[in-house]
Amino acid sequence: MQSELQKYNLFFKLYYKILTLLTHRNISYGFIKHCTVTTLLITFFFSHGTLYAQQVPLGNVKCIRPTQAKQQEPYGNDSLYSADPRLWTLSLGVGLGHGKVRDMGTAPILFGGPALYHTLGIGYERMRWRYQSEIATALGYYEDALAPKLNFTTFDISNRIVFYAMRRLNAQLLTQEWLGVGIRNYLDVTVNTNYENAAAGISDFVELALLLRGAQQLGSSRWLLQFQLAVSPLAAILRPGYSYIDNYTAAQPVLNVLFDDYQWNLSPIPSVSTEIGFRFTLLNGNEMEWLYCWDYHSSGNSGFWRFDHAMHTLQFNLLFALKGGKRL
Amino acid sequence: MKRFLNKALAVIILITCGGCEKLLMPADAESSATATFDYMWRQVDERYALFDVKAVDWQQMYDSLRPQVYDGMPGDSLFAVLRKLLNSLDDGHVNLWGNNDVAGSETIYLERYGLKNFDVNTIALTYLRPDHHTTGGLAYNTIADGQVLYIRYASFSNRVSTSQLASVLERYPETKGVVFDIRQNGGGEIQNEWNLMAMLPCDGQLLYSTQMKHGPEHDDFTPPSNVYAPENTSHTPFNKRFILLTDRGCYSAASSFALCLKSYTNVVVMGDTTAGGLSIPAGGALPNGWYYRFGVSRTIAPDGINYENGVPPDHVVFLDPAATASLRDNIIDSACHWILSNQ
Repeated sequence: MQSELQKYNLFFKLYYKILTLLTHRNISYGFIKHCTVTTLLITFFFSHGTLYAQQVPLGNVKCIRPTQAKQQEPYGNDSLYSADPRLWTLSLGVGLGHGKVRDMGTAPILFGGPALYHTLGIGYERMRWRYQSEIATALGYYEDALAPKLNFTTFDISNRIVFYAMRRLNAQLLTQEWLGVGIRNYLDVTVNTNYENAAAGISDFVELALLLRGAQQLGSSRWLLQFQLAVSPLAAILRPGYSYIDNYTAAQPVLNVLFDDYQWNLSPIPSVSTEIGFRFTLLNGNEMEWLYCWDYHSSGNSGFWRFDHAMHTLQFNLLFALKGGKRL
Repeated sequence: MKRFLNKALAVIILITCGGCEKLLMPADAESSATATFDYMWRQVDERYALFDVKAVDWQQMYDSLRPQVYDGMPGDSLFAVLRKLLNSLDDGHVNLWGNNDVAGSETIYLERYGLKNFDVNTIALTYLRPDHHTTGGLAYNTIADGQVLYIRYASFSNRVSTSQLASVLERYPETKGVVFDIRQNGGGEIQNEWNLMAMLPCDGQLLYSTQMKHGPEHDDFTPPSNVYAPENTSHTPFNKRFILLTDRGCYSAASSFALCLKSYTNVVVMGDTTAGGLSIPAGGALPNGWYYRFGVSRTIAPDGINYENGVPPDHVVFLDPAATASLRDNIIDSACHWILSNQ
């Protein structure tokens, strides 16, 4: 694995050298690398479908999405999918947003500012069931929303790992409703260097989640309007307690006692997240999503232990229909 | 069912996407002068870890200072009241940062400069001398006819690694001991403390134990967490006499270093009691945007005592003004005598 990475790195370095020689400009190596990977990814996205596109006569139906194609089947013996219909999807997403955070352990003040968002997910669909897991990371740069002139800034790094199992409630062609359950882990690290040894606070939410998801095809087009609501009825939450120290002094004894003060508590309805947006299906089966997402986490309770984080993001996702299903 | 779900979803999505965290997230705390004072007092009351070694009646401080605070009072006046409140703790790890001012412990300040056991000119001219060497944060030269190595470490904020100390010690293999001077060292990064201790012989000795504040009552603490001497497998430990010089200017990491070194058999701590500051400070912001810090842990020595107000030396030696007048430091001279007479 290491040697492969080294090979890739050599390739990019060589590519970078050639490009800078050709252009006689000092181009950022990271920028070139990023552009190249993005270009390759998009090229792959548009050029590689899996199984469905070739099966849909363009003159017949404007588009049949993979899931819709399945919906058309009565799941009877004569269904093309009845033997073992499966579909793996890989999703990659980026987003820009605005976040707000307040950690009562360090300040009763709301911080707000821009945030970057990345997601990586994988889904598996079979018959009426869909299983989906996702890793999402957000990096926020927040300022004191009330007094930005004081130059308090907080970096907020949040990481969400989710796993959902969803059951489709109906098998209509144009409309779908899904109901699901899942588990989520939400890890948030806030860093504020103004706060001496309380510079970093770690919050971890281990949540049970309920999911409601709906989609509506817009006429007979390849566009789909979709929305999703996930509510966590209960979570176990780890938060700093009264000491709230971090590794500012980077010493062995501090690391030894770093989590001594952390406390687990159960909290009802600690999070709500929603998304609404559009999905466009390409002829090769891959899809693109434009979503508006809202995500809110709160440890509940009161006093120093309370933590609130809300984020609004505009996301763009690429959904790859992966091979592995039954080929038509 | 389908219609119901669609309508329910549409309503929920409209509400939640409309930024309804405002409905869920409580508003910012009131930032008035009285609210700010109350918040500061409560933070200290529930989270400060050292009430048992500080001679302060915190409730009495509230009762006496709270009447002086009123909403709409000038910021400077509020800062002065809060300064008085925090100053009653006599703790160098307690600070308040306002828009245009910083408050710290007046007692620690007075002790550092009023009870100074150190003369910088004497050190520079007689002991370090112009031909001294500097490695990392360490300045050093030989004294007592080359028999003793004198090392000056002025601040734990100056980075020093184990390898750097090892190279300094290896440079003078013929010396019979080291005088390690941390007087007027106000502390800094604890990691440097560990880097230095790694050059001393470790036999698994207990250095101290730490307890974190863990509840709102003054005696709510986590169970003690023991801290042992660091092992060093990459360098030969320094087994010769090691004299550590301290004074009332030694604070925080410097005090902690003195406490740790008392557990090493080849080390003698000499000079005056340190200024203390063994707790780990943590901070935060007040509702009006000012920010603060104070100690949230306590450190217990192997003998069961909390030396938060100062680590006493093994041998008390005060600077003699008559010696200083002739550019001599009688504390260093005593340390040299100790090394050379105990071989």
